[in-house]
Amino acid sequence: MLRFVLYRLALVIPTFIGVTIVAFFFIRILPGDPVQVLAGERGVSPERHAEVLARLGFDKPLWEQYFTYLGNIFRGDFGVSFASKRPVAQEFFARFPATVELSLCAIFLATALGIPAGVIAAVKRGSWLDQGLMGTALVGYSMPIFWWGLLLIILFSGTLAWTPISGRIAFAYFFPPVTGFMLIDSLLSGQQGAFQSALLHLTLPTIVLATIPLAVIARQTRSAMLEVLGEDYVRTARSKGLPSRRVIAIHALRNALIPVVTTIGLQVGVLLAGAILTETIFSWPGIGKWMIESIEKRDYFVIQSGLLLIATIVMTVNLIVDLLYGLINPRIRHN
Amino acid sequence: MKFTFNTADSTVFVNFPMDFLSIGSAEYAAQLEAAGNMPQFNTMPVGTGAYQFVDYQTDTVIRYAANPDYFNGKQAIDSLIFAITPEPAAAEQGLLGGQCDVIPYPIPANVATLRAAPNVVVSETGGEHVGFIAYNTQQPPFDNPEVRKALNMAVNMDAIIEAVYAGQAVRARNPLPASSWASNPDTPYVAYDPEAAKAALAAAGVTDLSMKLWWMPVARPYNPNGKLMGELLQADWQAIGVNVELVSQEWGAYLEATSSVERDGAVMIGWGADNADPDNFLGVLLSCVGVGTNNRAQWCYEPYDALIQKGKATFDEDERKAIYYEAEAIFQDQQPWLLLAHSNQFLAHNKRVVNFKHDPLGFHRFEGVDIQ
Repeated sequence: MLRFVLYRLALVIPTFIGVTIVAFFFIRILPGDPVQVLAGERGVSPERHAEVLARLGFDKPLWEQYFTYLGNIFRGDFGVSFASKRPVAQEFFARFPATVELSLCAIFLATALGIPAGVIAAVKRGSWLDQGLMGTALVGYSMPIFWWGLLLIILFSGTLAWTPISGRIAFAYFFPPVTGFMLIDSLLSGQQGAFQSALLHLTLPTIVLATIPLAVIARQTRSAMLEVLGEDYVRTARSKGLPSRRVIAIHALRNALIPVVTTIGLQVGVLLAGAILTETIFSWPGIGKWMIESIEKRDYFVIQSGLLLIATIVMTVNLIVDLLYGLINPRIRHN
Repeated sequence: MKFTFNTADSTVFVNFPMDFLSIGSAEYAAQLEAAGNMPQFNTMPVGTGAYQFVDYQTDTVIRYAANPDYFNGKQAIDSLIFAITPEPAAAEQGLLGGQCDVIPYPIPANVATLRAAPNVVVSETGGEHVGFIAYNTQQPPFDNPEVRKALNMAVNMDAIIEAVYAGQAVRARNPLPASSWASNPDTPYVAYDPEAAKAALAAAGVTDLSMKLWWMPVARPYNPNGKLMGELLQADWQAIGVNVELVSQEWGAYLEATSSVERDGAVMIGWGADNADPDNFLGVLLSCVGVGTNNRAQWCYEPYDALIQKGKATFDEDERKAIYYEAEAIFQDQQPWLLLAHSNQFLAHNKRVVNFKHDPLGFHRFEGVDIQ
């Protein structure tokens, strides 16, 4: 197992360097620069433009800028946002808990509903239940997120007034952040009703963000279960007279979970980086929206370092998934 | 405090009060500079206004409290909250559901729905901006004013205002917003006459004209739908035999490409007022010094430019008005732009909010505002 862990860690290094290269050069391929974009229609004189670019170090050769950026990263300096003038790391970690909280709730919901749905669909293969569940999954997967989110807002927040429109907690609650996770901070605040408000604010964004992963996990689980349910050892377990539930939950599901765990891990990575639309609709102050806005603003340091931080987190999640793989499937860790 | 300038410039009286030139606390700035924390000057402002800054949660909410020591008295509203809601539809639902009291700039197509709501008041004001198409006047044949005038005659502006602005705009007759004291209300509109346009192009010796039209990839207050506008203009110009290719790029690239003197084609763009001075439009957008930057028509016309410089150096408002009227007449004669419209600005609030005034420059001022 130790060798497996060390091997996986060693793979991280070239991946990390590759990400720094992509993060650095990707934004510089785009035309325009942060000074021009910030000036907008107002424009800026060529002299002032050159002066600001030089102050930011953007007038130096690209290779020199890249190695300066790399050196700064290893010193823990992620740069300063051109738009907000605040350190990128500070901006990132101010927003990151919001994205993590939303993503974790979404993946929890997607897993809690998706796996049972996939198992039921596989066990009841060909039935109306199977068709219904997989049809619903297909609709969920195909639905435009923006439309779905606005629809839920209009129905539940507008017409029925059951849920709030946007934000992480009602404005009446005001307390300094401790962890950045509103569910935890609201409990720590001790203010009556704060936790319930935070939970209510999480409801619609979680449902919207969980929709596609739920569909993916349900379909993946169904596929994996169908494959496993046809295996000899499952047939053996049944013929030994084991209860059907035990055969499915212990013998079949455990093996079917191997590809499903990978899927869940990949979905977490996608969610962490890609909750942009959900964050925009619900005014959720996370990193997805922040990154998109930074690309529009050509905020080079935010994009470079933000991409790197996100990639580091995704790599960490995937590493954990791979290690879990080894735990679930002894053949992998012994190989 | 005494300011001494090296040139006569009447625009300083409107430029100095602009927000980026606000007078701040030198003591606070020195403290922050010593601590290496200058960004806090923006994110935790210190001032003497009607409301004090309380807290900012990144991308979520800004909180203010009434300043008890404000020289004009403590405000009626104790706690003022700005909820950052990028999605206009979500903001509108918040207003309709009573979760917020004021929303700026609702989607024009939704104004009727908001007006029909029993608890909502919608205020409307003329936009302090202008949308336009700037020809590249340094690129033949658009260096010929007759060609530009011919193209302008071929455009059905009434149809564009209906389709693009949902009728919620005033057709522009001058580069200045209609509310400006220097905008001549008697400047005639360019008449829509496709046949005359064809004849004018032929008289100018232009046949089989092909041109590019850059359309805006983003919605702006002065132009809510650049693509639709581009398509309508393409249709109007094709009707008089001009072949139009629609081009665009992502906004940052668009701004860079369209300000270039070598730009191929006409560009769709606009401008919003920084202040109420006519030079903010007539000088910034159309003077010779702006060629290659804000003057996207690359238009440097000495008689016009001389008037703009004269207007800037004149302090008497009536004299300035006469100068700018003359400049607008030259603009009308030369037509470096196709003038589009000044779109109306809307603001909606709950009926319980009283004394809230719609600021023409887009600020949100809550001094004197109360809740019934």
